[in-house]
Amino acid sequence: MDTQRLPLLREQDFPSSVPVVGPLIRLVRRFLYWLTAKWAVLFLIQQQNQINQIIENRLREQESILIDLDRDLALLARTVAEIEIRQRYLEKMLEKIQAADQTQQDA
Amino acid sequence: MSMIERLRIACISPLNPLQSGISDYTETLLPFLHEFFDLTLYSDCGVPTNPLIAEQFPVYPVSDLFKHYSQYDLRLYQIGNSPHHRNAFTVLRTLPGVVVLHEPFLHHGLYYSSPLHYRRELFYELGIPDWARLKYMEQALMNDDRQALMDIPMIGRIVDSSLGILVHSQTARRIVETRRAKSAFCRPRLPQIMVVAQPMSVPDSDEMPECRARFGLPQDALIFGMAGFIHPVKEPYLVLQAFAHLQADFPQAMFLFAGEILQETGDLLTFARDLGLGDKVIILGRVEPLERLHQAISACDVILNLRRATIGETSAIALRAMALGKPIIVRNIGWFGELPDETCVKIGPEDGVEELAAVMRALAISPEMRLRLGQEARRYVERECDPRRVARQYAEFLWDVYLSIGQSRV
Repeated sequence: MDTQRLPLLREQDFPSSVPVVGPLIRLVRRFLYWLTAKWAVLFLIQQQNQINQIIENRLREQESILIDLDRDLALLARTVAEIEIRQRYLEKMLEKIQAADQTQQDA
Repeated sequence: MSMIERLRIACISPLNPLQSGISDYTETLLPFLHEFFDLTLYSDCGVPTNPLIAEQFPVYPVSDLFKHYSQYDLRLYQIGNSPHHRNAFTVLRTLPGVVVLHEPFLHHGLYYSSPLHYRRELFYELGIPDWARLKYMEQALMNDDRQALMDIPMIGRIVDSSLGILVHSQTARRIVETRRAKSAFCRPRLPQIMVVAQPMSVPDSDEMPECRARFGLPQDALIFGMAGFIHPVKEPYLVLQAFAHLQADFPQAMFLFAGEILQETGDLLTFARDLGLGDKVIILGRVEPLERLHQAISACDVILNLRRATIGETSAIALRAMALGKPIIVRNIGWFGELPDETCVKIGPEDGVEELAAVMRALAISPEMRLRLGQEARRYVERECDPRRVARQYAEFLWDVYLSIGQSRV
């Protein structure tokens, strides 16, 4: 199965493991299914497949958005790291200036 | 502001007892880096086995950096292709800094840290959720198909978010620059990249006869050796085939494997027996401590350090052998190709058994050639890989990054 796609729904095949008469049982089951439920099940399968397709598309969109956000995170993390460095650099400069002022005042 | 002032640096790296080349690397460099910076170490090693490191530096678990990060002027990450960096990969996502990229290729490290995070990083690189590509990459990882994996070296986030990147070879630099050119961001400032040599202390040479006696090796034998992890990428089978070619002319020749034979390498001894070399090949297994490994290398006449494919890595074992004055045989690819010709013997990237046997024969015939190559190799390591010199290059780079960002306009 392709890991990136949701599986499509399909009709049941009504197998039977009973020896000898197994194929006959299968035929009877298929006939009853055809007579009573097939039209409704086919309709539901089609509807569910459409819903699954929509969900799959939405999930793909969300995955793409997450990747974009992840890339934004990298850029933001770098920007924050740069701002941190600037802040510390300015703090050091300020300390130096204050120390120089203090020395001048003391003199 | 000048280098007389000291920056406070958080250094994130594996340390021994975590068995990694980067643990040894960092421990070699730290005492010299300490001359320039106030260092605090972040490592998931527990208590460092190196008492000098444990006594001299405060050491915290990597995840503690989330609590302490505001105490430092810069963060310095030692990053390589191993799951020892699991927590560093996580911290790096939100707290970038200067990264020393030991290999510009992080597939194994990321995957074996967490397959989920590997997927995240792959999709980050691709920019789309390509599940078929993920499956292909996972298959290539399982088969250790490095050539297939090299297309996407998985360094995208590091290149995008780092403040500076240090690498150990021009080959690695090219790989990083190629990735940087593909960056999705139009940024005013790209990370600076610098090449620094891998630091390697030059130990006192051990006397060969003494070393041979220690390992029970014959004094009159001509010994070829391979050291470190014996991985298929180092081509041990090709080497043994080439060695078999020498047997007719040099019956006294022997081959020594001084390192752990990895599981994926297979049964070298059976292969050697099949070649009729059963009594000529000696496997020591993992050789510890480092002094004993030096003695094992010193017991050899020639060290082989081939690579079938390179991921831009340097080889500490090759540098160790060179520091010990041993002639080495390498392939002319990646960092190995950047070594000066007078310090080693190079065979071509595609050369096979015949070509390798020819250079082994040339070295076997000529003790003068072995001596000359060994001396040049040792001089090269003394000159280029001196840890003090490397630490100064680090210091210049880190100050450059710090000042260029600190003095820039917001």
